[in-house]
Amino acid sequence: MTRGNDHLEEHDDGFLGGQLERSSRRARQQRAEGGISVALQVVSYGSLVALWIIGSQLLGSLLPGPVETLAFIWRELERGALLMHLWITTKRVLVSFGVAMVLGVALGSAMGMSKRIDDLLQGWLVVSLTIPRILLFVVAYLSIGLNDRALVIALIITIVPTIVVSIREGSRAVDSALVEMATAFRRGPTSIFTKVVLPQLAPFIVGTARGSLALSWKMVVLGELLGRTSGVGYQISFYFQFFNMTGILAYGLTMMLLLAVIDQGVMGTLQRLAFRWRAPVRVNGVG
Amino acid sequence: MASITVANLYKAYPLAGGGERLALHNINLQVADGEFVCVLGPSGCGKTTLLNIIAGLDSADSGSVTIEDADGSKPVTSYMFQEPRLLPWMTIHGNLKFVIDRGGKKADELIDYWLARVGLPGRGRDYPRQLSIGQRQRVAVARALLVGPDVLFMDEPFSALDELTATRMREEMLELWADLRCTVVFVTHNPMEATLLADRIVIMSKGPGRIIQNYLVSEHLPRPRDGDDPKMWEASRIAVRALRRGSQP
Repeated sequence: MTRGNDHLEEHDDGFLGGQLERSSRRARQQRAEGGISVALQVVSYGSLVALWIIGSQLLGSLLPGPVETLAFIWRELERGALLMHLWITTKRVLVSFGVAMVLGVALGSAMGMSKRIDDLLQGWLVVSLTIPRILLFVVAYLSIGLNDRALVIALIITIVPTIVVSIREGSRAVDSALVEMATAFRRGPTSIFTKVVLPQLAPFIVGTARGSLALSWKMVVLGELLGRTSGVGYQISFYFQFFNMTGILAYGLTMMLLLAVIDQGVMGTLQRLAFRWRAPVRVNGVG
Repeated sequence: MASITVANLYKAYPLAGGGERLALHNINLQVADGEFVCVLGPSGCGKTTLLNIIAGLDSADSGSVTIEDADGSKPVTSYMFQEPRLLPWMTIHGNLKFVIDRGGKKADELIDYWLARVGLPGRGRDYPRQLSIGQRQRVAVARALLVGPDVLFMDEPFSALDELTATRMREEMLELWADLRCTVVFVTHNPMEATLLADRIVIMSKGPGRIIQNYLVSEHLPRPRDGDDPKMWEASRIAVRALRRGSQP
């Protein structure tokens, strides 16, 4: 009996020991993988900076280097121009993006869920997707005037079709079994949309939001460059007239950094919060 | 509690190449207040279609369905599907709260009560993915019963479970039904399951789906029933023979 128990303990120790060894090996492997990932990203960004430095050395005054550009950014920050123009551009983007998201999600879900609405709006969607974006800004400025309203409207028309397409596809992928369940329990249309359909659209909404925000940032510069007297686009246009490459790069780089911070910081956090229910969890249920 | 009357029901589905396939042919069915009726038939005989039409999830081409509460009020209906159909982004508590209209402390108490009744006390904060398939189906039982149904529709709710879990859940379901005494329409293709659960088995055949026999189980097998009782097997043979007759050309 005793021998048998001893044998069991030995076996248990061996089993547990093996398990511990496996899990610590897995942890070491994960740490190593994490380290490699960070190193590769550093190499990726570093190579871009290196290319910039080499380019500035080779091209001389045609391409200012990072130090010169950062010094320009600092000067613009000190005199308050950079923050003022950034803030003006950001406001335009946020207003356009917000309105476009509301419109795009509403139209996209309606088109995805109703074939009739899809057929009705099909022509509008195809035409709006094929209009050259620059044409929208030109037409908006000519018809509405050289003001913020024209810029914002042109931006909204630019972004909405992309959002609609993504959300429409998302709506078509909605699990009808869950909608049927909600219907069987006599839930109203509002409740079904907000609690059953919308959460299923969330990946599409977040995905298209990231893409559309990035597109808005790029298009707003074009719009400002064409017809505004403020904002980052205007500043780029201003320095272009003086062939001031440092000024152009300084404002361009600031925009890129701001977009990266918003995309990775704000949108990334929102994405993680929205999908926290998907986080891997330990299954401890039986039978 | 409520009774159900189905009269002269027809349902056809359009075929891809034109024309249509008759799914239900002249269905007439009465389910009394508090009766447990199992609709038994082979796959594709239209039993789920019939259940969905009665539950209001599908529409018939002709005929009528009437669900009447004994006291004249609007009957509360509830549904249990083959799969749990829980909303994965909501906790178990959230899933149960989703189907009830009231809020606040009373709703929480009701949810806690039903989670305890189905053997999942304290699991309200978990997400569906943290539960096993059997536990998720228990949540679906809780969801179906916490609305206080007058009529409960069940579409092969235990068919996706392993036999041991399914047997246990059938027994628990009978205990819960004995307390609630709501009217139940239960769809299954399993004659033993139908015999264990039902007061009456409505046997359907396919091509097109029609009712071929009403088998009053309670005449042969009084409650409470034991799944291991040899009489159960004998009683289920009557349903099996009827199914065989129905499947003969």
